[in-house]
Amino acid sequence: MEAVKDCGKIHSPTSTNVSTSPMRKRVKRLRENHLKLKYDGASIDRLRIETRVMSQTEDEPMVMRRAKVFAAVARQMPTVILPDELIVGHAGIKPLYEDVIPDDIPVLLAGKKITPVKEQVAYAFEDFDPEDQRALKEEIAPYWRGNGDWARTQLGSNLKVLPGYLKELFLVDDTAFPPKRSMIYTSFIKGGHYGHNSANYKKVLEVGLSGIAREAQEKLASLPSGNTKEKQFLESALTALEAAMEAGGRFAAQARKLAESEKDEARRTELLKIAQVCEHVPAQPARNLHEALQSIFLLQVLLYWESPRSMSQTPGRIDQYLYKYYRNDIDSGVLTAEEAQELFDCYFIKLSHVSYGSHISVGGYGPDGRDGTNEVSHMLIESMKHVRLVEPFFSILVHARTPESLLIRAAELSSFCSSHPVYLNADTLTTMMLARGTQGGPCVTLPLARQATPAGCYEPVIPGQDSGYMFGGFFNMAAVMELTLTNGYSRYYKKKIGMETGDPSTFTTFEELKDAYHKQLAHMMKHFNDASNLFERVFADLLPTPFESSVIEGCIEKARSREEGGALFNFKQIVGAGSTDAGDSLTAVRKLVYEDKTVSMKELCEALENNFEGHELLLKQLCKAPKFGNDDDYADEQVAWVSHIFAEEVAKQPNTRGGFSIPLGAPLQYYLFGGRVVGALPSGRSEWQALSDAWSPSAGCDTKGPTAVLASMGKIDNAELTAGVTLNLRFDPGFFKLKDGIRRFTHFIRSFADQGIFHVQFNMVDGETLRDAQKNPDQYRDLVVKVAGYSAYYTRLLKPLQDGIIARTEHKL
Amino acid sequence: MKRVRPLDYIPDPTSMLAMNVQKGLVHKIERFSLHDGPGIRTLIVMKGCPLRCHWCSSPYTQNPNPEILYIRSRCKGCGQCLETCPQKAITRSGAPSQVQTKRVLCIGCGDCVEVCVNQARELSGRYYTPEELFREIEKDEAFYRRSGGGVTVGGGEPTLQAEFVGDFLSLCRSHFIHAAMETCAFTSWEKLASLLDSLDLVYMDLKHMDEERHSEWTGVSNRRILENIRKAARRNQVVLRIPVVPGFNNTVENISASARFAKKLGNNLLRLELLPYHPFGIHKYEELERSYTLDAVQPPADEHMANLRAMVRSFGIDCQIGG
Repeated sequence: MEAVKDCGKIHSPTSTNVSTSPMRKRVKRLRENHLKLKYDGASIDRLRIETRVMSQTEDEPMVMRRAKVFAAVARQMPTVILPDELIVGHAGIKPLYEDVIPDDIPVLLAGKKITPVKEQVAYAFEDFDPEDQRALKEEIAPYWRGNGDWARTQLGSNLKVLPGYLKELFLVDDTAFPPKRSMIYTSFIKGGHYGHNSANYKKVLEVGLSGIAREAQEKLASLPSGNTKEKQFLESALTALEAAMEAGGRFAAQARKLAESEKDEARRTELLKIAQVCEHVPAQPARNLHEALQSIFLLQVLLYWESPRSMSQTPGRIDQYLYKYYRNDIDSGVLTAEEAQELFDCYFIKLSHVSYGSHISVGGYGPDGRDGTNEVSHMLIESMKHVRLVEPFFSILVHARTPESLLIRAAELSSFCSSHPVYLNADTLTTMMLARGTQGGPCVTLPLARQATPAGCYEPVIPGQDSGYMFGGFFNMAAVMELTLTNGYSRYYKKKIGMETGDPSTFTTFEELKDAYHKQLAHMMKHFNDASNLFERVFADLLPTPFESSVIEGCIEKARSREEGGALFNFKQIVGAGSTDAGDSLTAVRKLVYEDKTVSMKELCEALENNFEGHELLLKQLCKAPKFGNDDDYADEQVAWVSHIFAEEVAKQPNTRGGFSIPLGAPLQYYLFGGRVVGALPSGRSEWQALSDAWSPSAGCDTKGPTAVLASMGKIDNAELTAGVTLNLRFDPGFFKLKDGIRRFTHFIRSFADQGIFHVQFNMVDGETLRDAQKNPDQYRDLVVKVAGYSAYYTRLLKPLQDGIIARTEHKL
Repeated sequence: MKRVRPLDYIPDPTSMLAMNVQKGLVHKIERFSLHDGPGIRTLIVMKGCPLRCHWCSSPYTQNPNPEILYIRSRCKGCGQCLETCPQKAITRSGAPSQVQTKRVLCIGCGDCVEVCVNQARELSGRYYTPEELFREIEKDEAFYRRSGGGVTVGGGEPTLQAEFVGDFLSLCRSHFIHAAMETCAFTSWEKLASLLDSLDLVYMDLKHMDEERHSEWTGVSNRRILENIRKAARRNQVVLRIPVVPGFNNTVENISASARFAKKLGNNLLRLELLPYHPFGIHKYEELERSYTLDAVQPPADEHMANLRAMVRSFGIDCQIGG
């Protein structure tokens, strides 16, 4: 997660002219204005509303109270329209700011800083102006503190429900409030909703919010009398929908007001057009492309208003559901292709002004199994080339029939941008969705599976049918490795926290060790899930989302919120970290202890206990043992096994909404934190060091190049990790300068898909990486750069030549 | 100025004889190679070369025997290697915490590589049977298939191990894997010809048109090279490569003489590639504990390269800068 806004790095001179259509002046201005926007820090405006409504509605059901909070927010948020905009709306008072939420209050009052995900600019209590500080302390905090246990906040409630044996695992010190969290497991113990879902955007376009409200009314009328939970939910949903339907009108009024004083004739006409559009959507069905884009954008704003800080409210595969509006407009002459391109560009710029990580995907399958690529898919890649910002997250869904032309456009974007796009395997995606049914969920039909869309980094959801992921937390497979070799004792916590799976020096075969690891993992997983289920109930009790539930299929029909299992599909994700550390450790033990017998298990454990001090030769031997990422079956086999048992154990864990858990291989930055609580491992990793990043090879351990990494990754059953798995590949942008660089890149992407790997993202090597490699050469032994017609190991070049390559990279020679 | 051919090691002819003829000595296998032919390829870097070009950016490949690379920056001077070396070839050097290898004594057994805790020593040279090598390159078959890539055998000089390379190439052929070879062409016509039928593409170096300059800078005459290029171009598709080294062969006269020669090769000449001299091989001399003699040479200017390219193109020959 990077804090930079601009992704406009151009890596290769061949790619400066890749845009097939010129960027309109308006888009250029909007982009420049966005980059000039200052981050406005945190605001308590929403929190004031929330606190007021919550304290006035104490005796009502929680779902209704939340609906009233949402309604008040939706009616009171300012309606800002910026110059040049065609698509309007903001998640907040200002384009870039962060809402303070109740869980932040004890943190702020304790004098600690909060770092928002989106802008990564930390703020503390003293950063608020004196009036806000007073309000926070005297008006807002007292309500949420309650009788002192903060049980009205998620964090307070979580601590209350957590039994002692689990508290030990999650918290280092629970005497203070907020408590010090442990890192052996983590979960979203605080912080509001997780987002990562794709609501039924298509339905909102087709029937409007008013159509959904009608359904809710009909359902309400059909219920028997009496104040049931079902009734409470439907009434709350209607309260929320009513306020949501007014949002368009409020923006329309603002546009008309601006039009009155607008001197420029052309802009006045545009503002009146904006007013017309917003008077209609999202309350009514969209009639053309402009209305459709405005409708899905305002829907996203509304979702954020209900769940501030939620990430990746995902519009998803908009090339699939917007195509008919585009086609219609072009055929009837309402719009030219250039005007449509401009609208898409304007929409993409707006995605920086809502939740973090809006994910847009193009390509993939249609519900009938045919290739889904259309003109809009191409235009959206074009928009990415024009806009070049961190938002939106952008992926290409690749399968065997993906047209080469789409991949060429995508490869041009790769040559152009440091992180866009992500490449995802549409076949593996489909298999993953079908496999969910075998893991305890309801059966997913083939057409639904083919419509799956990535949310967040890439976590697949079935748009409009999924509850949205409830975040189960990070699970540390490297820690399990340590506990297996210490009979349950944690070197960091200096106490027994795991199961007693036996003294490892008594294991006479490698299989006994693997059995112990499996048992330890299953035991830890069970505890982990117990806690995360308790947290899930706290969500349902404190933070039901009546508005979002109304735009998820199933909730109105069952008259139940998504927190109570109203959606068709109800999954929770559990995120793994350290699979490579655990797998490489098994490989090293197998080779040195059980096969070559160069060291006894006892001696190995001693070396680990002492962080290899006095055991340097052993360390070297451990480091030299085969490692994941080099297309070596001997090593890849163990990582694949760890990955498999993780997936298997996760899939056994029920959640509290009638669904199950699904495994995810995207630990984000947890690989850094998760390493801080794990001692030395047989993989050769020293104590407290970072774990390997996601499922990728350990740093510096893959020395055979990207094709070998893909081959190793292909040996992992990607499809059984049904919430997805990350593969980050370091790549020298010099590649694109080669003869046929673009074409060879598309072939590389095709070969990636051939391996059945789900995800690949390219980290283009930049000056910063190269400088870091100069400082820490051991971490970058695998770093290959393309120079002067051949490849060279960067860290072995002479310093002046290394500097020359940095200059080349940064000056975009 | 007469340049002296560097000879700071003694080739050991007995090791080649003792070697099982079925095995080939490979410096390294480079997957995802992109500079040596179409598509995504695997490059096999063979050991041993009959030439001693002063600008050589790949000195690891000159020696036909396994040898040790020493990465000085990683060495902590622990002395493990001194004790392990069966030849007693390693000694403490002048600088503290550094060692030196007497290359004359070293037999390339690799024992010191095994014991080095800091990975400061590497072995260049591993023996493969043709089947073993084929199994290695087969791993990226999916990438060849998608990209129209394949295998390129380079070096070093592959024809020094012609029998092994021939067996390996016929395995590639029988599996329909595109095969290319990079050769300096200083070899007997029989050896070269024995490989040509198994090759889809041949890269041949043309270092200088003047015989005397050629032998001064490479250690050998160019007569046999020119002859082999002419003959090969009658049977195979050929790409000519000229390493453009300032002070040696970068004159307009030499390049235009080269272009005239190339023009006569006819339709089998696909193109001529001008490879600008670069200093990215200097660290390899240090790793071999050898001295580098071209310190003063700077890479040719882009403009000069562009002029040379234009000149070659004026002969009606397809020409590019870089591989």
